[in-house]
Amino acid sequence: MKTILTLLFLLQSLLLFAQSETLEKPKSVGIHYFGELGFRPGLEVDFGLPILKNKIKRAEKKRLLFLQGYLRPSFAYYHYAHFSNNFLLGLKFNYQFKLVNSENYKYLFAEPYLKIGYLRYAFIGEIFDTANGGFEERNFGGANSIVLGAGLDFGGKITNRFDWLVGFEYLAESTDDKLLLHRFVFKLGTRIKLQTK
Amino acid sequence: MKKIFFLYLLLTLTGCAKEELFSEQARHDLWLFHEGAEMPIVVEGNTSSKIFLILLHGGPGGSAQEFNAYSKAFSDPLEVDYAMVYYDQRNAGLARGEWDEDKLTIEQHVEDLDKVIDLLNHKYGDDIKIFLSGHSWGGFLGTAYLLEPARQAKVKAWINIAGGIHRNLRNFHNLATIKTIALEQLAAMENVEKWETLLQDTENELNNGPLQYDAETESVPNALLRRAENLISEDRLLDLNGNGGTAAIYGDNYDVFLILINGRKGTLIEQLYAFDETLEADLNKITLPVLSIYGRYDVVTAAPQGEYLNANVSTPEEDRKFVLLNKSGHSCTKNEPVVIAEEIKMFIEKYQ
Repeated sequence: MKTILTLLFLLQSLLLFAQSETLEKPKSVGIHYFGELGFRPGLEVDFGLPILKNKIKRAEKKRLLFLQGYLRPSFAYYHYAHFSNNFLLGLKFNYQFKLVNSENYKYLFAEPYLKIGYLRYAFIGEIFDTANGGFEERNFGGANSIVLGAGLDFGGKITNRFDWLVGFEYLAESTDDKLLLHRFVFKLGTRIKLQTK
Repeated sequence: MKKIFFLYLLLTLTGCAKEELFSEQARHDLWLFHEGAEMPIVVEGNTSSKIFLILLHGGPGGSAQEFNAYSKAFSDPLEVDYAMVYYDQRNAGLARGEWDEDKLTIEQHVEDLDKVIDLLNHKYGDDIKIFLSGHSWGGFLGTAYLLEPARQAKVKAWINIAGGIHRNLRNFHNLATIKTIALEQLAAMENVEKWETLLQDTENELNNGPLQYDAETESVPNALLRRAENLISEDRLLDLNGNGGTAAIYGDNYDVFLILINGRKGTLIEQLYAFDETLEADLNKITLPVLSIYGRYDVVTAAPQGEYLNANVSTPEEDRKFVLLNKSGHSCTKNEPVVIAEEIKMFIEKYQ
């Protein structure tokens, strides 16, 4: 199962970079507070690349609905007090529903997404290993997991360059010690558009 | 000027990184990697006292961090005077590492505990004084550990808190305690109908149940004790002094999901029944001072379990103490934390 997930993760990454050169669509960098269980502090950075053709529908007279798929590779760091520093390398598939006011170009968007990732725990504290007899001090120790999950982001325009973003994420975590854990994340942050045209 | 600044910065950073081994308010996060398990050990409190109190959690599958996180009225006063050692056993609490069913044995847990004690000596020196305490399954584990005189030599004394000592007798002790409580509550005219039914079912099990229980048949007395616990709760017979979870989850290293999932894993019940024979043969090898603390309303590991332990060790009479808590059930560190902490302090001061 883990091998399949890892291969899937790698394949998606390859597809992402294979496509990124061929599309000229708005790319963005997201920077978010990443709070596991709300208040376990962390930071996530992601990079949005459009992968599906932009569709436009007229929602009302003044409003246009844009539909756009994105791949968003992401990296998150978060911290468990006295226990571990955690590093999550992820890949999200976001589908954006963006409602634009055609008169003033203000907009709001909602993005449901799926996420897959690799999570590394780096234990905090002194590690003593008995493997070679006695107590050998180790510099690094930790655990690995594969995460699968889904989330929902909401956002809107602040300026031509910046969007605001708030979101929630659920991650099912399959650990290398055969545990299945649940993670709930609250996100708050901004997206920086790399093209403002 | 630049050189002086960088030198100052370097000295400041290296100064910050150095952790004091002995202080009155230490917090040391250690990990023991042993036989595939990665077990967290938190040493918190007054390490300068050089008195270390290891707390073995219940379960199997509980967490020692739970006492640090949710029973602060119990753990904080002890941390003022001693270094508390919160150790999460393999495949339990916040422990990580391999999940190997073959290593989920009493013998492996005993070996792990031995390594924890050796690690404390390795880190803090051979001149520290180690006291061992354990709650519920931890009470059993500590007892099993001390059956070997060489291991007894490593600790100063044994504090058994609501320990399940003898698995088969435990069923009869629990049933007898449920009967006693039911009769008291009926005399006090509390929840009459429910207590009457429970009393009848308990007497029926005492009269007609097996003399030797096993993992399967103990489900009957276990179901009765769950009913008794509910009634004890309904009748408000226990003091409640646990602290809230917010600080535990966000301030301490308390990972609810990890602890819950770990707690649902394997069980040692068959092994506990098989170990009764060893216990009967070797309990008299224990010569250390023993303090047993039990709740009057504990129907999970009832007070006679502690009386059994105290009666069968070879410790001199004056070095055995039994404390019965009048407002406590099985989670007695949440019911009467202050009383327990005081009893432990008095005991440690006597035998340090």
